[in-house]
Amino acid sequence: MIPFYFGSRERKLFGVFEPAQNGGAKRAVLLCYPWGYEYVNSHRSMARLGTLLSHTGFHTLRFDYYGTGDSGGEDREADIEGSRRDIVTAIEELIELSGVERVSIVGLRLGAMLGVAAACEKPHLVDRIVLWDPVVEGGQYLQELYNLDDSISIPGVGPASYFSEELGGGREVMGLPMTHSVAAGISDLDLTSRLAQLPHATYAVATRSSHLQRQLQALLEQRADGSAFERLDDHPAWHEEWPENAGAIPVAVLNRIVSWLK
Amino acid sequence: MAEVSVDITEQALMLGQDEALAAIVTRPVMEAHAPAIIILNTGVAHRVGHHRKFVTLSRRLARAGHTVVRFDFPGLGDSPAMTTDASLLEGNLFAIREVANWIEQAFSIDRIIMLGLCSGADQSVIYAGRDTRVKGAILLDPSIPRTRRYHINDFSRRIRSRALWTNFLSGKGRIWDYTRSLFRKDGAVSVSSRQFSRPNLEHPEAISFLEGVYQGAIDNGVNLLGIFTAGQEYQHNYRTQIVDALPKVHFADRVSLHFLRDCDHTFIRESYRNYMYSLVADWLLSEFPDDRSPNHGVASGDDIESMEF
Repeated sequence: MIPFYFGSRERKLFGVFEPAQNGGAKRAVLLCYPWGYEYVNSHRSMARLGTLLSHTGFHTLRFDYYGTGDSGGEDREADIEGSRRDIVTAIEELIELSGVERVSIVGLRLGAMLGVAAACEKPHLVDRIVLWDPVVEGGQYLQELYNLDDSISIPGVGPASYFSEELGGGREVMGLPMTHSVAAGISDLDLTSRLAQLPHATYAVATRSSHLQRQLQALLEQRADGSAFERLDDHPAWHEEWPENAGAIPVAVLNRIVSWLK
Repeated sequence: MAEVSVDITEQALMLGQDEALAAIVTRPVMEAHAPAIIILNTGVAHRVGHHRKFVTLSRRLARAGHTVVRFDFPGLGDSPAMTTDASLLEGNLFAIREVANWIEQAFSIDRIIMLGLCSGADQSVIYAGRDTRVKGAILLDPSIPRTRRYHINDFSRRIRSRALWTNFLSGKGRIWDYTRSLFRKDGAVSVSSRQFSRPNLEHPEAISFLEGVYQGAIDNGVNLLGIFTAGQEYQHNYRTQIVDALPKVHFADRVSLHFLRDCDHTFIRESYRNYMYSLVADWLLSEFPDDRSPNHGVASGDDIESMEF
């Protein structure tokens, strides 16, 4: 396991590279985290998935978008278009580290949507895509986040603050700023229209059912390239119902992702 | 491996004998001799912390002249689990010592301040009594026993709660759950999904253990900053509870206490975090006023500029 910084001087990204354990591996996987509060909740599961893949013979890289996690930049410097570009940077970094020609992408929640957007830009550098509990429609996701924050019932927590235009505008959502720029970037995202442009075999796994997931299922099941949709009864890695599932890892989901990629 | 800004640098590395502790070292570019700060995990959350607060705090403290190391205990975050016969606590204390040793070897800094939230606070104060290099401990919501005054405050709060009366009148809540259970054939009390097991800190053995831990830290010359939030209302609810709860500890003037009535356990709102950062900064300035870099205080870091040197 190698923690390191990569990217440009102006946009340093923190990543963890895990070389394939079986030697002579020809495949590599890039893991794309979710955003906001979902990032902290899911870190444990994403790290475990990275190690599982590494032990199975994949080189893996997971990294923090600029302005998130251990990467450079302050919270308010994070933005959606920048995160998409960060994924492209990470794809190129993983290719250089592992010596492969193409990488697979595993994206969780918004990371799935951003991974698909990055793959659209560099389709020749990507071979397979895994969408894990993907956000399908940005606008609806944004509203869900606002609703979640507005419904917080925790001792000591008051209503969210709204920020001045100087600070990027927008409001707090679950502990982090949702600036106007980020909110607009998320609203513009639409997974199914992007996915239709991609020729890659795609596997989607969902731990929660929704009508948007069913649309995604219909889209993937039309394809004759090995794409598939699966509903698994397991924990949502990205959402903590403390204390019931604190730290719980959705083992069934991780194993299924590894076996599909194999 | 390192990210460099105008005034601070961040380095990612694996520390310890087996290079098994994933850590980020944040420090001023200018040489500084202020005490180093070690930030511990909160529960199972990795070193970034909820709402990225330990990243922001590390950068602000580094600008104030401190070398800051946030790292993951074995089996958490990016640190692999270790096979050992030691208990989880002893394994974690060993990991902290490895980090402290590395700081001393790498930077010749032999004064350490521990910082942690919740379980991280508990482990901070335990370690503080075991290493003479530790000069301070910043404890965010450490575990402390409830006291008679706690229960009076809690009863008073509940009786004034609208939710209590709403539940009572509508047949909901724990009182009614209990009453109904008395009439069930099996007599079982239903378990609320919000209940969870926690150690009984009011047990005499637990109190004695905690008194030993805190007295040990104080006897070791450690100054304490305790910040308690309303988010742990089931455990503490007033500023000086720790003093009442651990009567055999001679805190004297070695402890500075704050109770944040409008703040949750993870500091979810930016304003809560900023207030906590300022309390930490003020305490550091008052307790360790010497050997600082030109950048005094914990300024906001919105203007990070990247450059090589």
